[in-house]
Amino acid sequence: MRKFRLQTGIKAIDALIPIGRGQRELILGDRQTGKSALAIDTIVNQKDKNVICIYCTIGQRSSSVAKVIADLEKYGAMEYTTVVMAAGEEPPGIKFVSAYAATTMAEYFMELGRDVLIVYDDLTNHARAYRELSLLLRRPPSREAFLGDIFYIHSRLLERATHLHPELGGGSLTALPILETEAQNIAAYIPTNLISITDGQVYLSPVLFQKGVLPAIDVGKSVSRVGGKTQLLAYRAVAGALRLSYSQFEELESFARFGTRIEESTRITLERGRRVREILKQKQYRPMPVATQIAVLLSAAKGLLDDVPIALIAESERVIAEAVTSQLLDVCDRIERGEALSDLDHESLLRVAREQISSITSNSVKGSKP
Amino acid sequence: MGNHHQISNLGSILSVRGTVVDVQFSQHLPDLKNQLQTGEDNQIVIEVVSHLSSQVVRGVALVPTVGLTRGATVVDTGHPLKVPVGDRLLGRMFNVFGETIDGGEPITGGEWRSIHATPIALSERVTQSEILQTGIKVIDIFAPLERGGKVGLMGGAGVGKTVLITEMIHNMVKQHQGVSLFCGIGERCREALDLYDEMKATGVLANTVLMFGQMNEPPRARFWVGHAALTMAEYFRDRKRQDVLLLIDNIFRFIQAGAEVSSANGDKSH
Repeated sequence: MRKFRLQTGIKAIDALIPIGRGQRELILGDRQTGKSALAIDTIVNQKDKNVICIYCTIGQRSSSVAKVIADLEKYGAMEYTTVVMAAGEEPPGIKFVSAYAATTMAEYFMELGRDVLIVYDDLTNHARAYRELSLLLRRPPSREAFLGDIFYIHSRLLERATHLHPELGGGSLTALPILETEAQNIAAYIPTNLISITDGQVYLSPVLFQKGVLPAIDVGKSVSRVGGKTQLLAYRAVAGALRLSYSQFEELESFARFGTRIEESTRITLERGRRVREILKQKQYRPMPVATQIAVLLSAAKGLLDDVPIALIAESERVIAEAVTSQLLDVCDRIERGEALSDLDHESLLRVAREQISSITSNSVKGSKP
Repeated sequence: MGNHHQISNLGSILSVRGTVVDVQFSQHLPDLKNQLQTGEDNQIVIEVVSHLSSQVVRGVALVPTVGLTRGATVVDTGHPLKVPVGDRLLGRMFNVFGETIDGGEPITGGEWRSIHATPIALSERVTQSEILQTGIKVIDIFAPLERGGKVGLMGGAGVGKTVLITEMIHNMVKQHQGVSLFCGIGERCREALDLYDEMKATGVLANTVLMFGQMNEPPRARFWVGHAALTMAEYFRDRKRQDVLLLIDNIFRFIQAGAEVSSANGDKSH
């Protein structure tokens, strides 16, 4: 099977939870954790990437949908995006069928051989609309008052997203269903159903959100079951080290809070982890190109940023990204083409990063002196 | 279960509610579990689940009932769901109706068996246990499988269940000259395709039969697909006297399909 990546432009996802074309990746988390923002960023990043986007809103407030559309227009995303809307005030029947209408529109483009991205925002409201309909039809309710076939309702919908065989045009339909959890309970009925239907999930944590780690992706609870095969080779060299240092850090972080004396090696793990977390932060509507992602992630994974003060990490990221795009055009090109990077390429990326970092740190030292 | 009547037994649809279809038969009620067919080209398959009155049966459809209307003509096939059996199935992929879904030639003619078989009598079973060597050290030493036994394989997604299954199928073919059946119930279509491709690549497909009732199929199809696979497996065991390894992924989806079927029928017991 031919497999391609869907670049979200979000560092944490592209490096650690890569999404392939035709994949179904669930985005779930409590209310106000940035689920829609993540999906909209992904749509914005598809500009000039020849991907058609369908944004299907189900049961959202009209005012927030209007805001989303305005934002999509502002970033030039409406040129390749269709919004299908069933507002919160509309009857349950409309909310229930809008997901199918949007999928049909997406399938049309997929069958023409195009790559399509569909976002369902959100399936919690879709499930509730179906529950309302089933209860009105006096069908016997089961768990959480949903009809027993709610799993089938969602599996049938999401199985329509796929990657077509080259003989059928080779089009793809990637689905990003969004789901709202209550009190971080991912073991509730609808979340467990959707986790077993989709090919992975991105979990957004309110705890990280409150700490200001945005996007609030909980890397430990997020997985991508198929995306790894589609990931650019350049990412694979970075992703392993990054994931390892981040998970070690998360494990140690809670202990380190007690202020106990810690070994030197533990301190290094903690310092590196803090910087990895810092580097994975990303502002909304700022999707990042592949080459610069690789450069900054590599710097963090290789410990180049270990001695940079946390406050200067964002600035270092900016200058590394700028320097790499202007100085290493040919390496950037080869990353985009999906070639594996040689040790020499890594060396030159790190060299450029090191130069930038040393200039930043020396400037800040000078600046702090009277 | 024979054909009691030469002329086909026809009925007409009284009501359609989701996958539940009530049909009136004025001459003769079809037997329970009989397969009924209706719709364009008789594409819609319905199974009789209860006799509501002397003229009305309740059936559950195994394919989506979109487009079905009251008054539509229904044909009683006079037999329950059947699947083909035999060596010709090896290397092929099927759905619950015994139709090939691998894009190859369909299987027609030859022996077809009802998917509803009676269990083996007590007197026909052996009581001593024998180990079925899987060739996987940790299993054979710490958790050996019994020939004719049943073992649960549990684990989260992406921890290597498929690798283990492929390894077992491989060893079954190489060490025991046996065959393997893989039955997918209610899982992702992508996984079915991935497994098919992988078996083809590792060369074990030729001694394997695959059967799928995945999550995009109606509950009744997912419910019976396990039985259909067992029917195929029983043939290799009973007629060919071979060792058969039957793998079912995922048994919870079988239970879930059963719950959906009874929920659609109006039972609240689950």
